[in-house]
Amino acid sequence: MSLRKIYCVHLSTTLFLALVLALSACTGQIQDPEAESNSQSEQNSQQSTETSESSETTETTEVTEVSETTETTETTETTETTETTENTEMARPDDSNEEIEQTESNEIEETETNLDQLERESFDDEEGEVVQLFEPEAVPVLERPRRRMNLDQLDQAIKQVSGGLMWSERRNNNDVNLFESLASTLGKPDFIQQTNEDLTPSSLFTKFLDDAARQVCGKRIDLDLEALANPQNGIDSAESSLWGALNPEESYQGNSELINQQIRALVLRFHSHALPVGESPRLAYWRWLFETASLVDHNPISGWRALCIGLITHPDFYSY
Amino acid sequence: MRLKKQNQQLVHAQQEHSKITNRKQKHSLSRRSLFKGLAAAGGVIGAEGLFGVSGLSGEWGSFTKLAMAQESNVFDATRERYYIFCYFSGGWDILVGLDPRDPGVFSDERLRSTLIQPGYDRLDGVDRNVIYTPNGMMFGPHIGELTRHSERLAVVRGMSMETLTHQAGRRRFLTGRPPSGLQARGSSGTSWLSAHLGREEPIPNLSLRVESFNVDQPSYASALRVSNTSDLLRTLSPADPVLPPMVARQISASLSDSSTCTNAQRSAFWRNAEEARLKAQEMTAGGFADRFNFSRPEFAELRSLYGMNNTNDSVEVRGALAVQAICSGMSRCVSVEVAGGLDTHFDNWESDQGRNQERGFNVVARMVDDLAAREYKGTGRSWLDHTTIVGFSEFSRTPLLNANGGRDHALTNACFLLGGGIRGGQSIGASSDVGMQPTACDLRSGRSVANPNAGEVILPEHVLQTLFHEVGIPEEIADLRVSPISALI
Repeated sequence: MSLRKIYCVHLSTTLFLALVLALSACTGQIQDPEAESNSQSEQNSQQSTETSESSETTETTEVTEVSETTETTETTETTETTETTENTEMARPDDSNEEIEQTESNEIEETETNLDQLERESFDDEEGEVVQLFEPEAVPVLERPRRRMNLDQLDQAIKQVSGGLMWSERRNNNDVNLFESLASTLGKPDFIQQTNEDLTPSSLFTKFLDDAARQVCGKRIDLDLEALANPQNGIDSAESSLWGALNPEESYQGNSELINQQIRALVLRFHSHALPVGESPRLAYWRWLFETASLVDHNPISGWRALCIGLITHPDFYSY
Repeated sequence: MRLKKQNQQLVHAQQEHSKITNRKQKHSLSRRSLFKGLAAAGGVIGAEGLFGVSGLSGEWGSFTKLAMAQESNVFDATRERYYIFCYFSGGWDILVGLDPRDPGVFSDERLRSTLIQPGYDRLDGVDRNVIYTPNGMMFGPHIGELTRHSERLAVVRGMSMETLTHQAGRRRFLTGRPPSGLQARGSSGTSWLSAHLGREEPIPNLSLRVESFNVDQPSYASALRVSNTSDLLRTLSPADPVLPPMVARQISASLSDSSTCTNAQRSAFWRNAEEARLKAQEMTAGGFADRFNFSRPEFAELRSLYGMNNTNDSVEVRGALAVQAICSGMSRCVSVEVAGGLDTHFDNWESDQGRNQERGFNVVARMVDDLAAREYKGTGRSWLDHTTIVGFSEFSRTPLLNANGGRDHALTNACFLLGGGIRGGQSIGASSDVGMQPTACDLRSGRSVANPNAGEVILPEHVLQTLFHEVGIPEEIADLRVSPISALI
């Protein structure tokens, strides 16, 4: 082969490749030649283990792409490629435009997918190493900070759960609400010296809340026992009662499911927590208090009393 | 979270610092003679300049200070100090008490030039003149029995409150920081001192009708604040009604158990509530209620000392209660309102201002008597040697009477300190002789200076800083940004 001939072959090859690139740019599908060559070399290395059938399919796809851009250009890349191009051209009927468009759109989609992969790979190659991004830490769900009820809210809440009973003291034949008489000490503003209510859960507050809970729960139990002892009075305290329709003398072993149900009802009434039917940690926690208090005092009523006091002095009651 | 972390770091740093201070103190005690010698040498060659000014105090050279500490305190002042803050509510008129003017000099004829009107001739039922004590201190006609303790009494005059609002002035003095509007910034001085010294006491910080703030100190330093003595008795009494002990224990155990759950551990509120609940149990279990029931026969002498007509709430009862709380080992710091009804804008100034102030001063004087009479833990020293009493009000009243015959709010104030660690028999600073304005004061000598650059106007934080400095609360933590008044201690 003369030098002139070799020169012509190379020139035509170069022109062909330039045209391919230019047309690819027009369709927005510029490929990174380096990446392509890399991927091709990778493919080649893999091809040794692949079947010849699959390699043929790959080649056909590549050449189909080329054939779109080289309708009038002589293809001299490789014999195999040229043959395939010719085959493709031959297989394409001139008047079947729709089919061509369909094929083109499929090819474009396929090529886009491949380009995505190529771009990622080329990015990795440029950077030199694959960067593993850290999984973001699970951010705990932020809750609003708890706030203590003010005295009025607390007074009302206790009345609500106890069926209208209040923490009081008998003075001059009158029941004095102790939340009112101790208001100043408990931090209620007088709007002269003090304009903000102190809402810290101080030791003073917890002490007085304990006193209030003990008294109110005691009153509730006395009223419920009285209603039980004198049914002829017609006082129906089942709604506000601590033990509901149960017999207060009944131990947990006697009727566990009904007692569980009543404990759930009390937790809902005092803390607004609807416990699921069946076992739950919260139910187990409160049942533990009921059972142990009943056992140590040998009296189930002590269990109900302890449960009532525990529910009122628990932060879930006086904070929100 | 970040703030909380910072606070924890601060508290930790504070504790570390106190440990270091203690170590230093012990170390210095073993080298007493060395320091004395060095201090003497320093006096000749200008020790303060040679050894450098302490970054903390900015007032004394280190060695001089240590030597002075050896002279004045034979016990560990950084640990064995107690405080009673006596609050005169409503804004006192310092002309009738702590910062008087001679009516012969500041007469009505010279009113235009002095802008000071003592007005003693209008006051009800007192000798209408100023009172001089044997040590040369001068007080107004309503200083009452406090003059008996003038040897131990130090008065800070010419202090600027920088406010004319009751809440702002009160909170400024309590915290040593200007409030944001009316909102206190920072913790009360008593909270700082209780946090530093009072972890062992059942109620480190007790407050009787005085505000208290705790924003950055441990929760045990928060004041137990009650508005009257009967409420305090109720607080200290066992829980009522009484439950079977085992049942009470089960309830307590269940609450403690719930406080260990994840939700509780994440909630500062819950943690504080649990801590407060346990503290309340400890408080009521201590049997302190009996020690404050002054109607009991064993307190006859105490009732007589304080002049209690009955044991209902009164300033006398409160005063006795404050001393009892300190001496019974219940509290480290007590804040108590010893006088009220001082906001006299009208002609009630003539009848109420002096009388109410005097009653408060008398209570303080009896508290001093009481403390001085009680021996401190078998050491031969008195409780007064260990207890610092601070008397303050939110601000003062105008030196000129208004059209209603009363006095309005004025920012120039005064306060007094007495007892443990306080160099008595002196007045620090002065208000000006024209209109009673604040003046600059040399903090080392305590003297008022004409040149404002030679000293600084005393602010409430100077007083708190002095107390903090004495017990070793470092300025970089307290962050009051003033120097202590060296002349006071």
